[in-house]
Amino acid sequence: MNVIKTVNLRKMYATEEVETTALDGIQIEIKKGEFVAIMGPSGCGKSTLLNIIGLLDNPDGGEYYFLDQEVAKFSERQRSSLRKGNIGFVFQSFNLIDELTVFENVELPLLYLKIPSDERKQKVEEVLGRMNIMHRRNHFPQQLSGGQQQRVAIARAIVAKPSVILADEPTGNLDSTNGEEVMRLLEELNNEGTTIVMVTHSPHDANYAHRIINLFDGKVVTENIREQFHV
Amino acid sequence: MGLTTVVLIMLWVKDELSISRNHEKIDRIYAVMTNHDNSGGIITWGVTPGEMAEAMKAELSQVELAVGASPFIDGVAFENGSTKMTGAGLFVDQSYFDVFSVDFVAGSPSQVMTGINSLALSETMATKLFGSPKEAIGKSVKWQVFDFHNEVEVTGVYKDFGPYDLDKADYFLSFSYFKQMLGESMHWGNFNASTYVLLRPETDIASFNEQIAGFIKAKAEGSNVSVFVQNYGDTYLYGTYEDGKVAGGRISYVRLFSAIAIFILIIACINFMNLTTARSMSRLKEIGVKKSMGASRSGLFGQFMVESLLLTFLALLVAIVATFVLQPFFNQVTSKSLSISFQPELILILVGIWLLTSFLAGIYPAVYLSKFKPVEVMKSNIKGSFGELLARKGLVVFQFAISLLLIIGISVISKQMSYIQNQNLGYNQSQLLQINASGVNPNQLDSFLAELRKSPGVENASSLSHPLVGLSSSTIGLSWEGKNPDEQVKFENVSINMGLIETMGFEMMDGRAFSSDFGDEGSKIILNEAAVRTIGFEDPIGQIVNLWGDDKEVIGVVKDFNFESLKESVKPAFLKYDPTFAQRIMVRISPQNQQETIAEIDAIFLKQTAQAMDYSFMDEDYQMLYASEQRVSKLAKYFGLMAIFLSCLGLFGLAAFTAEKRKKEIGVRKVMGASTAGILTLVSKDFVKLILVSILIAVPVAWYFADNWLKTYAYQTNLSWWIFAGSGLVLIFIAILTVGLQAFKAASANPVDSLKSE
Repeated sequence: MNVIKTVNLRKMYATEEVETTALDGIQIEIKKGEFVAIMGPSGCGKSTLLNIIGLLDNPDGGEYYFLDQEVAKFSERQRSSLRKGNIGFVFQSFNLIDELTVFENVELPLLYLKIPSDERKQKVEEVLGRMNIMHRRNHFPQQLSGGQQQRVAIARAIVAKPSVILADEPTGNLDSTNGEEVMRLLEELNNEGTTIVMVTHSPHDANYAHRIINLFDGKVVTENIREQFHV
Repeated sequence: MGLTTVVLIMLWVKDELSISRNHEKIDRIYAVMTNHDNSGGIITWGVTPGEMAEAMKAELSQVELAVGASPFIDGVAFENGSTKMTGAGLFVDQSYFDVFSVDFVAGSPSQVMTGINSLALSETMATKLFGSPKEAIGKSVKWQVFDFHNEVEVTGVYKDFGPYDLDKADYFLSFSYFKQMLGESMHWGNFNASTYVLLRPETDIASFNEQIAGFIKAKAEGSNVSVFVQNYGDTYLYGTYEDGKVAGGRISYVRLFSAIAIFILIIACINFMNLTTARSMSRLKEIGVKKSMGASRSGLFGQFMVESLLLTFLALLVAIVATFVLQPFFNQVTSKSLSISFQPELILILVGIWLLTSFLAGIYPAVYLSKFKPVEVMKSNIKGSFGELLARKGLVVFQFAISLLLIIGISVISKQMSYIQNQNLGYNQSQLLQINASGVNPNQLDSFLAELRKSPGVENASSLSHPLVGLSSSTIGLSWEGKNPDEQVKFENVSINMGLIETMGFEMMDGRAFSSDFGDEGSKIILNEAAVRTIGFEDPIGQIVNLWGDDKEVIGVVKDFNFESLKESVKPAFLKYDPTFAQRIMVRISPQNQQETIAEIDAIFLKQTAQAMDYSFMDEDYQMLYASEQRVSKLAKYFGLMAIFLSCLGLFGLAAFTAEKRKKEIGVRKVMGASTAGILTLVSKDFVKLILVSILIAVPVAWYFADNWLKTYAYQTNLSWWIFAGSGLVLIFIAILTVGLQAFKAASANPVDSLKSE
């Protein structure tokens, strides 16, 4: 079953002077349980693609099927309701809310899913325990190291048990030890059945993926399937 | 804009403060006031017995000069051949011109009022009567008021009084003649003249007041009147008395507006501070680079202060231009003729405002911005500290508390004004014309009234002794069986003609009105309800009272009618029949063809008196009693709106700043599935909390002031809870509108933009 399928996906950016084609006829399929890395030089359209896949943005042309549902023309409200619960995000710069504690940050997606308080508490505690940051639950993001912050962000991404996790340069702001740890966590989640799509510059990180999609100037240039992976 | 308002208010305040003060010897000029201790408490009047001035000059060493003057007398008709003019003015002693500064263009101040037949005219009057001031000198003029008339010689012409003068007299006649007019009624028990004294320098006012307190009691046995003096310059602003002491007056408006000006200035400064510090985030790089290049903190501090000075200076220039533009409008609202003129005094004040504003607005940003450490600044990871946030929120709370105070104040004033205007006054004010009867020959009054009544648009017409609005002729000369002889009870009184009660639409509660069917009505009297209560008659009709030694039979009781501002409760009053003293003619006209009816009345009047008719509508006269309140309420409305607008600007800035600061958070929340409505609530919630705090602060304060103000009225509207609730809601609504716009912008932005890696 395809979790993600795009047909001839296009996206343009227009400034006053020039029109840039960010995505030019992207065709990809990502199956349930896959771990896919998207690579390419800066400005090749990686993040744009990830945003569209993540239902944060609409394409200008083409079709996009998320869980076999055509969503390319969805309104912001429709995208939002599909997004919550189905997609978890991990960002390079963590994007935790400074004014909220670790616990509250992780709780946020559940809040918007209108899950009752008791259940929220239980789920958050479970995921914090798993990420090994339970002892930091009442701290604020500013009081944590980068590695810890990214673990909080991952906790937030998986707390609602989404079917897909989208990670945008998840190790970009981390040293190698912490980066390694984050990658192992993602691998572990993938082994449990979560589909993962990751944008990265790092060939080392890309090695964790089953498949690498290389983008150049808004087009898919190559797809490498690592041999040990079989669907 | 804030500055414009402040400059306008400042002009107004300066003007109010100058009224009745531009006399050379103003520091030594005192008005003699009398406290009348009645059963109803002490009432203070600016009138004295006629001999007061002379006696004070003779008996008190501190008095250098004393002036006797009549009350302001309106409707005196002057006649030079065929040219006729009416005017309002005073009968004064010669010494009036030694005490007060009156600017003569012809004749000398020392010779003006030497004889009983002397007359001084204003430039306008003299020009109208004789063509020019020079022409007027030495000419003789006939004048007439009521049934007094005389032929006098013009001995002086003075410049018209300016906007700062309280008594803008068109003429001055001799006080000696006024004393003749008073005749027998001039004695120590009657109060019918004004007295002003010029005290010697170094007179101690407190001990002088102590010394003169019993001055009248010593002359008139059994008098309950004590005396004090008040500086003439203060009488305008401190014209309200309670319990025989000065208790404020217009000064409260001056204070109110000064406070509003200061508040507006503070609000504007707060906005400047908030916006500067908020904007500072985008200037952090500049500060960081400058600091790392070796700029000192004091250097940066200086830079920001200079920026503030420059900006404020520009604002002040704009404000001055705006003031010029708004001036005619402002003058219309205040009915003043204010103008900016660049006297050194004004420039000094403006410079003061400029420096103060720059300092207030610049000091906080300057301190705040210059203290950053360069490294932190360059890394641009400055986080607003908790204290800073608290300060900023505190400022917003303060702004809105003031705005709310103003909204509530304006609502209460408006409510009270409409309450007063819709009060039943005890008579029908509409289509009631009041004509100044000073030109009408008393002998021809009846035929004149008869002719008026015949006119088709006239429903009824009659005359009375003096204007009903602001009626102020009181007597203690009424007594009755069982009255405590030691107690002096004051009754307002008015002499009326047949048909006046019907013309006015007074309601008879008992008995009948005066009527020619009953023969001689001169020995009859009609009381109002308050008088019946005061006297204590259970069955008033047929009772005998004694007025000035004559027995009068009570034939009717009229329902209480309001003849004063509703600040006062209805006082005991009686109506007596006496058509000879007719100062005013009242005409009830039908609502149709008003213009034609008035033209017709005018023609009849002209035929009778050879003068143009001087008339007004009763309802308009009544409105005049509240003119100052209405002006203040109008002004307060404008200034209040200004304050609210400025506060909203501040809030708008703060909201924009907050939205900018929380951009990332909003983005994250949206990615997590927050709806636009959710974000809107999130951003607005904090501001609504601030507004709620403002409301909590402002409501008790507003209630306190409104309650005190309403207490100055005998008839007061109640302070309904919905004024406070409504004002609060209005404020919340305005605030949400302001913040909502920013919040909406933030909420509807694409979260992707705010989440791009740094």
